[in-house]
Amino acid sequence: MRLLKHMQKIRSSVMGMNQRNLGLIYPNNAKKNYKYADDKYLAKSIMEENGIACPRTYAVVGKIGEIEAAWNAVKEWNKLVIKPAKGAGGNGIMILKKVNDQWMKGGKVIDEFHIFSHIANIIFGIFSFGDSDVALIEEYVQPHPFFHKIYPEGVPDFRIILLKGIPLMGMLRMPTDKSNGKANLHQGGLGIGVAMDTGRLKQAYDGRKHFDLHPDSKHQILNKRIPHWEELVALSVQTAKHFPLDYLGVDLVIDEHKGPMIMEVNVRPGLGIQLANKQGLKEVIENVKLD
Amino acid sequence: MNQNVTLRIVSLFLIIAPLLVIGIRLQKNEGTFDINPEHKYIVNYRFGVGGNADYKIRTFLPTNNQRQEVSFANSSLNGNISLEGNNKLIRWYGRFDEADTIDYAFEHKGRDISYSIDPKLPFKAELDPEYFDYLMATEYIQADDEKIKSLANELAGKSAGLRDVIQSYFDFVHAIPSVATSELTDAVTALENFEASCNGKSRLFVALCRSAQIPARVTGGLILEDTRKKTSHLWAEVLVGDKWVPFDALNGHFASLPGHYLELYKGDEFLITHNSGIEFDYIYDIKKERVNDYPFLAALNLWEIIDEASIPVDMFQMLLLLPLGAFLVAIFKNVIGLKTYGVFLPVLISLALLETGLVSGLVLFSSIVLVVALVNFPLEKWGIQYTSKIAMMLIAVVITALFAVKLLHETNWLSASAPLFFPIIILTIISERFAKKAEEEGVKSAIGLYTSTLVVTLFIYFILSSSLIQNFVLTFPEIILSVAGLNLMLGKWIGLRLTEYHRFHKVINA
Repeated sequence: MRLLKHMQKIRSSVMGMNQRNLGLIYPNNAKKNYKYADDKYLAKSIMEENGIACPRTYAVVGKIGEIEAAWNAVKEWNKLVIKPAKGAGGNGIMILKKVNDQWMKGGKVIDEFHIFSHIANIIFGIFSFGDSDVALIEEYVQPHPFFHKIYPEGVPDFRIILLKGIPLMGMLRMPTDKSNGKANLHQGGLGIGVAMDTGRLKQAYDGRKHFDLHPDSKHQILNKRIPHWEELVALSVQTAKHFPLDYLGVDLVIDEHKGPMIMEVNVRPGLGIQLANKQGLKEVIENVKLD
Repeated sequence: MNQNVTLRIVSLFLIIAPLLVIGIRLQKNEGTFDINPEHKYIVNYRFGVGGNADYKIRTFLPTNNQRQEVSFANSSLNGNISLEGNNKLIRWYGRFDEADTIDYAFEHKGRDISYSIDPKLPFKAELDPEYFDYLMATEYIQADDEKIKSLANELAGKSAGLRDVIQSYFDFVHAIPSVATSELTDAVTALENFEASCNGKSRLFVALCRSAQIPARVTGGLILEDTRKKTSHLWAEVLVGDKWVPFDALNGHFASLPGHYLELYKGDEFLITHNSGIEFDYIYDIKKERVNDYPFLAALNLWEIIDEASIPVDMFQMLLLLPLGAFLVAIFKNVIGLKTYGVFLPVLISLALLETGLVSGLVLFSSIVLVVALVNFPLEKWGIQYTSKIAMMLIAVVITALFAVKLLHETNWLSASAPLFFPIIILTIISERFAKKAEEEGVKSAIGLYTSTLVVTLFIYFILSSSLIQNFVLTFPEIILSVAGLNLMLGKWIGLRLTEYHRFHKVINA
């Protein structure tokens, strides 16, 4: 009986995959507009046109023959990110830092030949299921010190889910020792719930358990106040307004100097955010409608 | 809202309409919806009588039993029917002015039967006196003949079990060279000539049993086929416990009998007898008819196409089972929440398993996937372009499959005719996705997904391997529309998947 009651509670509060697809994604997002989210190049064009803060694009490479010229134009920068426009799940992203005039990737020296072949692979479509793709070369985001006080590695980002321009739920994704600098939940990262009204962190979730402290660094997470929270929310609302997608997940980062920026937009934001928040999305949507 | 109403109407219509049609077809057609028998036979005795003299003709009529169901169809002349002992006889008396024929027709539906005899049953057991008749030596079944007695002793050897003794007699008689003769051969003659037709072999087998004090009898009838014939058949029955178990030592049926054996009489009888002084001829005119095709209202009678165009049943079966399998995958994904590599993969693999056999197929396919997934790692490392990579992995799948087939064939694990072509492409894709998953989320989650793919595959295999379901979809292909309707409804179902209750149970404080 207790199990049935628990199941009933889950049913009335949690948003499942079927209802997300049929009730949120299909009616709110026209298929033909998915590309504005799935293609990071298109997404950035919209953001840039509308003055939405996002990492600066140094170069866009769409042809093998353009690689060298593009590289020559960007290699003066000391930190770069190379990513496929249509990549998914963080695949094909290469972070480069210049140390003593040599390019380093994850602590190892990398020569130009390997950088070029990575760009060529992106264009060939290795990270986008065989579709030819475009490589973006972007500004590297230096995470706000707030994050490194909790955990010193990687680039944490926020995910805010919005329905018809109303922010519903938020989550901070943070790397762990296991996740190798990546913040994705299924790669071992932490999902940390966010109290939308106060901008304070809730507990963290690693796919199995909830924590009040970061499981590796043991720094406090619960109740920490997020810097620039109101700006983050405002930026996500502004983004939602300019995309022809009514149900979307907006991914944001906070740069040490430039403040909140949009990284990307997602038409199929995952449901794990409910676990990070210990709160069902179905319940949240019902409460929003009541208001 | 309006759209949802339309959708609901369309899906309900799709589900219900075919069921109604099937119901009507079941009502209006004379069929038994049973896979066994698929056929019935209409047997017509045709006796030609001439000679302008009084005639007296006697023959046997079949009765219902565990393995056959018979019903009278028609006759040209009423005869006297009587029950005598185990048998039902018909007699015609009369006189024709001119040569004429007597026809008597009936329908036969038979099913295969096979018994397993407990090897622990003792050879010598106490016997009810009612069976003493079946131990007697007769004119043609010379159970008391010395040669037969000593052969029976020698063959039985030291066997203590009834089954082993019967088996030794059966094997001996089965090994005697067969000849096609319709002449009566008694047991001793069959043994002395060391060649015999059905009647000699059956009598010898029965004689051996009887001389070993095992009750046995011969049984006569026809082997039914779509033809006109004069040949009847004789086989044997042995009492095991309190059951008469059939044996046909000519055609090698040990404790079993196929469905197309028409049983007409028990005991050493002549199938047709008539008085002398008349001209007499006979023929058994047998027609084979499908009983599971339900022709009335059949928009698409696949059985007819199968019979007429000799298209293999397998092909239609695969086609019709595919949508059913895909629907099951959809249920697993959207209702239960078990994810698989691709929608069609589990269906295609389970259909392939129907041909390869369960265990050998699973071993083959799994080894291919695991071996080929390894090929992905260097290809990925060297940055081989996607299309070329897939082509490379296909080559690896083919090579692995060839060696695996060679190995499985040498160990007799796999039948040589197993169709490997269509799963090959799918195996390539699953191998690539397996490797990708292993790289992105670890070998553990790749194997996890592979395991859930196998679970779904096995479930679908067990559903689709049911001959009842196979036969049903072939007979009533319209059921596919019902599957379509169910699919539509499932495609609009927004409930939580079963696995999501587990995944999200920590959202709510218990």
